[in-house]
Amino acid sequence: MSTTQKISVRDLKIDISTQIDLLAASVITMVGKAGTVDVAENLEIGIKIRSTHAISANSRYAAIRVRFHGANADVGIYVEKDGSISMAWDGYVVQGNEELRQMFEGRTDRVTFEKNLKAMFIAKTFEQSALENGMFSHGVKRTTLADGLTGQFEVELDVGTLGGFGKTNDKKQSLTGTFGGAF
Amino acid sequence: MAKVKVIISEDGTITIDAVEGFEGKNCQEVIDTLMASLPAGFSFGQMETIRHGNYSVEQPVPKQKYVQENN
Repeated sequence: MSTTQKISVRDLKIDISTQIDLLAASVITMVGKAGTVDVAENLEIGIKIRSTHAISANSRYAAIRVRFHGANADVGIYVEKDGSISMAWDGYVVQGNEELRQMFEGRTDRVTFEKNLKAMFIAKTFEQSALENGMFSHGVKRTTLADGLTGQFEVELDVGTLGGFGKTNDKKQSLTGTFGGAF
Repeated sequence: MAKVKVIISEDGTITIDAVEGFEGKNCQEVIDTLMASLPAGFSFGQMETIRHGNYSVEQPVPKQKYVQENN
Protein backbone atom coordinates (compact mmCIF):
# COMPACT_ATOMS: atom_id res chain seq x y z
CA MET A 1 0.00 0.00 0.00
CA SER A 2 1.22 3.46 -0.76
CA THR A 3 0.17 6.80 0.61
CA THR A 4 1.11 9.84 -1.37
CA GLN A 5 0.68 13.54 -0.74
CA LYS A 6 1.31 16.00 -3.50
CA ILE A 7 2.16 19.55 -2.59
CA SER A 8 2.44 22.51 -4.86
CA VAL A 9 5.12 24.90 -3.71
CA ARG A 10 4.08 28.47 -4.03
CA ASP A 11 5.66 31.37 -2.22
CA LEU A 12 8.15 29.18 -0.40
CA LYS A 13 9.31 30.82 2.80
CA ILE A 14 11.99 29.82 5.25
CA ASP A 15 12.09 30.14 9.01
CA ILE A 16 14.58 32.98 9.41
CA SER A 17 15.36 32.08 13.02
CA THR A 18 16.37 28.49 12.31
CA GLN A 19 16.88 27.89 8.60
CA ILE A 20 19.38 30.41 7.24
CA ASP A 21 22.28 28.07 7.95
CA LEU A 22 20.39 25.30 6.19
CA LEU A 23 19.86 27.59 3.22
CA ALA A 24 23.58 28.36 3.10
CA ALA A 25 24.40 24.66 3.27
CA SER A 26 21.97 23.99 0.44
CA VAL A 27 23.58 26.66 -1.73
CA ILE A 28 27.08 25.30 -1.05
CA THR A 29 25.96 21.78 -1.91
CA MET A 30 24.12 22.88 -5.01
CA VAL A 31 26.94 24.98 -6.42
CA GLY A 32 29.45 22.22 -5.75
CA LYS A 33 32.37 22.45 -8.14
CA ALA A 34 30.58 24.90 -10.40
CA GLY A 35 31.82 27.88 -8.44
CA THR A 36 32.54 29.34 -5.03
CA VAL A 37 30.16 30.40 -2.28
CA ASP A 38 30.71 33.14 0.26
CA VAL A 39 28.42 33.23 3.25
CA ALA A 40 28.30 36.42 5.29
CA GLU A 41 29.38 36.00 8.91
CA ASN A 42 26.29 37.78 10.06
CA LEU A 43 23.47 36.31 8.07
CA GLU A 44 21.16 39.20 8.56
CA ILE A 45 18.59 39.99 5.96
CA GLY A 46 20.32 41.30 2.88
CA ILE A 47 19.56 44.53 1.10
CA LYS A 48 17.57 43.64 -1.93
CA ILE A 49 18.84 44.92 -5.23
CA ARG A 50 16.09 46.40 -7.27
CA SER A 51 18.23 46.93 -10.33
CA THR A 52 19.74 44.09 -12.31
CA HIS A 53 22.71 46.30 -13.15
CA ALA A 54 25.98 46.52 -11.24
CA ILE A 55 25.34 43.25 -9.45
CA SER A 56 29.04 42.66 -8.97
CA ALA A 57 29.34 45.84 -6.97
CA ASN A 58 26.18 45.44 -4.92
CA SER A 59 26.15 41.74 -4.22
CA ARG A 60 28.48 42.30 -1.28
CA TYR A 61 25.36 43.12 0.69
CA ALA A 62 23.85 39.72 0.02
CA ALA A 63 23.69 37.12 2.76
CA ILE A 64 25.06 34.51 0.37
CA ARG A 65 27.16 35.19 -2.71
CA VAL A 66 27.91 32.74 -5.48
CA ARG A 67 30.63 33.16 -8.12
CA PHE A 68 30.31 30.61 -10.87
CA HIS A 69 33.48 29.65 -12.67
CA GLY A 70 33.95 31.75 -15.77
CA ALA A 71 31.55 34.44 -14.61
CA ASN A 72 32.50 38.06 -14.07
CA ALA A 73 29.80 38.80 -11.51
CA ASP A 74 28.39 37.34 -8.33
CA VAL A 75 24.96 35.96 -7.75
CA GLY A 76 23.43 37.45 -4.63
CA ILE A 77 20.97 35.43 -2.58
CA TYR A 78 18.79 37.40 -0.24
CA VAL A 79 16.36 36.51 2.49
CA GLU A 80 13.46 38.88 2.88
CA LYS A 81 12.04 39.85 6.24
CA ASP A 82 9.11 37.51 5.72
CA GLY A 83 11.45 34.60 4.97
CA SER A 84 11.03 34.56 1.20
CA ILE A 85 14.16 33.99 -0.84
CA SER A 86 15.24 36.09 -3.76
CA MET A 87 18.22 36.07 -6.06
CA ALA A 88 19.90 38.70 -8.17
CA TRP A 89 22.07 37.81 -11.10
CA ASP A 90 22.72 38.42 -14.74
CA GLY A 91 21.15 36.09 -17.23
CA TYR A 92 24.46 35.28 -18.84
CA VAL A 93 26.36 34.52 -15.69
CA VAL A 94 26.02 30.74 -15.81
CA GLN A 95 26.36 30.31 -19.55
CA GLY A 96 29.00 27.78 -20.51
CA ASN A 97 29.58 26.38 -17.04
CA GLU A 98 30.41 22.73 -17.65
CA GLU A 99 29.85 21.65 -14.04
CA LEU A 100 26.31 22.99 -14.07
CA ARG A 101 25.73 21.40 -17.44
CA GLN A 102 26.66 18.00 -16.05
CA MET A 103 24.62 18.49 -12.91
CA PHE A 104 21.40 19.61 -14.57
CA GLU A 105 21.06 17.42 -17.64
CA GLY A 106 22.78 19.85 -19.94
CA ARG A 107 21.10 22.99 -18.63
CA THR A 108 22.93 26.01 -17.25
CA ASP A 109 20.17 28.58 -17.10
CA ARG A 110 19.15 30.64 -14.12
CA VAL A 111 15.65 29.20 -13.76
CA THR A 112 16.98 25.66 -13.57
CA PHE A 113 19.40 26.58 -10.82
CA GLU A 114 16.71 28.36 -8.81
CA LYS A 115 14.25 25.50 -9.12
CA ASN A 116 16.83 22.96 -8.07
CA LEU A 117 18.02 25.07 -5.17
CA LYS A 118 14.48 25.38 -3.88
CA ALA A 119 13.86 21.68 -4.30
CA MET A 120 17.07 20.77 -2.50
CA PHE A 121 16.28 23.17 0.33
CA ILE A 122 12.86 21.61 0.79
CA ALA A 123 14.41 18.14 0.78
CA LYS A 124 16.92 19.14 3.43
CA THR A 125 14.14 20.69 5.49
CA PHE A 126 12.19 17.44 5.46
CA GLU A 127 15.34 15.53 6.32
CA GLN A 128 16.18 17.79 9.23
CA SER A 129 12.65 17.58 10.60
CA ALA A 130 12.70 13.81 10.30
CA LEU A 131 16.00 13.55 12.18
CA GLU A 132 14.60 15.73 14.95
CA ASN A 133 11.74 13.26 15.23
CA GLY A 134 13.99 10.28 15.71
CA MET A 135 13.91 9.04 12.13
CA PHE A 136 16.93 7.96 10.11
CA SER A 137 17.81 9.50 6.76
CA HIS A 138 19.65 7.87 3.90
CA GLY A 139 20.56 11.34 2.66
CA VAL A 140 19.33 13.74 0.03
CA LYS A 141 19.92 12.46 -3.48
CA ARG A 142 19.28 14.00 -6.86
CA THR A 143 18.20 11.71 -9.64
CA THR A 144 17.56 12.31 -13.32
CA LEU A 145 14.07 11.46 -14.49
CA ALA A 146 13.44 8.91 -17.17
CA ASP A 147 13.08 11.56 -19.85
CA GLY A 148 16.67 12.62 -19.21
CA LEU A 149 15.67 16.26 -19.28
CA THR A 150 14.93 17.09 -15.66
CA GLY A 151 15.65 15.76 -12.20
CA GLN A 152 14.24 15.45 -8.72
CA PHE A 153 15.43 15.22 -5.14
CA GLU A 154 14.71 12.22 -2.99
CA VAL A 155 14.99 11.65 0.74
CA GLU A 156 14.43 8.12 2.01
CA LEU A 157 13.59 7.94 5.68
CA ASP A 158 13.50 4.99 8.05
CA VAL A 159 10.70 5.82 10.44
CA GLY A 160 11.14 2.93 12.86
CA THR A 161 8.54 0.51 14.00
CA LEU A 162 4.89 1.25 13.54
CA GLY A 163 3.36 3.52 16.13
CA GLY A 164 6.66 4.50 17.66
CA PHE A 165 8.25 6.63 15.03
CA GLY A 166 8.93 9.73 17.00
CA LYS A 167 8.01 12.54 19.25
CA THR A 168 6.35 15.83 18.54
CA ASN A 169 8.40 18.93 18.99
CA ASP A 170 6.25 21.43 20.85
CA LYS A 171 8.17 24.33 19.35
CA LYS A 172 7.06 23.40 15.87
CA GLN A 173 3.77 24.07 14.27
CA SER A 174 2.00 22.80 11.27
CA LEU A 175 2.23 24.37 7.86
CA THR A 176 -0.11 26.93 6.55
CA GLY A 177 -1.96 25.23 3.79
CA THR A 178 -5.18 23.76 2.70
CA PHE A 179 -6.02 20.20 2.11
CA GLY A 180 -7.64 19.60 -1.19
CA GLY A 181 -9.41 16.50 -0.03
CA ALA A 182 -10.83 14.98 3.08
CA PHE A 183 -9.20 12.11 4.86
CA MET B 1 11.37 -1.10 9.41
CA ALA B 2 8.94 1.27 7.77
CA LYS B 3 10.24 3.58 5.08
CA VAL B 4 9.00 6.88 3.69
CA LYS B 5 10.35 8.54 0.58
CA VAL B 6 10.00 12.29 0.10
CA ILE B 7 10.38 13.36 -3.52
CA ILE B 8 10.67 16.98 -4.60
CA SER B 9 10.53 17.69 -8.30
CA GLU B 10 11.96 20.72 -10.06
CA ASP B 11 8.50 22.12 -10.66
CA GLY B 12 7.90 22.24 -6.92
CA THR B 13 5.80 19.16 -6.47
CA ILE B 14 6.40 17.37 -3.20
CA THR B 15 5.42 13.73 -3.03
CA ILE B 16 5.51 11.87 0.23
CA ASP B 17 5.34 8.18 -0.42
CA ALA B 18 5.01 5.54 2.26
CA VAL B 19 6.90 2.86 0.42
CA GLU B 20 7.38 0.01 2.84
CA GLY B 21 6.29 -1.51 6.11
CA PHE B 22 2.97 0.17 6.66
CA GLU B 23 -0.47 -1.13 7.34
CA GLY B 24 -3.76 0.68 7.45
CA LYS B 25 -3.50 4.34 8.41
CA ASN B 26 -0.05 4.18 10.00
CA CYS B 27 1.47 5.72 6.91
CA GLN B 28 -0.80 8.73 7.23
CA GLU B 29 0.32 9.18 10.84
CA VAL B 30 3.95 9.34 9.74
CA ILE B 31 3.14 11.83 7.02
CA ASP B 32 1.20 13.95 9.48
CA THR B 33 4.12 13.83 11.90
CA LEU B 34 6.53 14.93 9.19
CA MET B 35 4.32 17.78 8.10
CA ALA B 36 3.59 18.93 11.64
CA SER B 37 7.24 19.05 12.61
CA LEU B 38 8.42 21.32 9.82
CA PRO B 39 9.79 24.67 11.01
CA ALA B 40 7.19 27.25 11.92
CA GLY B 41 8.26 29.86 9.37
CA PHE B 42 8.68 27.38 6.56
CA SER B 43 5.63 27.43 4.39
CA PHE B 44 4.23 26.87 0.97
CA GLY B 45 0.88 27.70 -0.39
CA GLN B 46 -1.15 24.65 -1.00
CA MET B 47 -1.21 21.01 -0.16
CA GLU B 48 -3.36 18.48 -1.87
CA THR B 49 -3.88 14.89 -0.99
CA ILE B 50 -4.06 12.92 -4.18
CA ARG B 51 -4.09 9.42 -2.82
CA HIS B 52 -4.49 7.82 0.55
CA GLY B 53 -4.32 4.13 0.68
CA ASN B 54 -7.56 2.76 -0.61
CA TYR B 55 -9.25 6.11 -0.46
CA SER B 56 -8.73 8.87 -2.97
CA VAL B 57 -10.52 12.03 -3.92
CA GLU B 58 -9.49 11.62 -7.52
CA GLN B 59 -10.01 7.91 -7.66
CA PRO B 60 -12.93 6.98 -5.40
CA VAL B 61 -12.91 3.46 -4.13
CA PRO B 62 -15.62 1.46 -5.84
CA LYS B 63 -18.24 -0.01 -3.58
CA GLN B 64 -17.40 -3.48 -2.49
CA LYS B 65 -19.72 -6.39 -2.88
CA TYR B 66 -20.34 -8.72 0.02
CA VAL B 67 -21.52 -12.17 -0.82
CA GLN B 68 -22.87 -14.54 1.75
CA GLU B 69 -22.29 -18.11 0.92
CA ASN B 70 -24.71 -20.66 2.18
CA ASN B 71 -22.93 -23.79 3.26
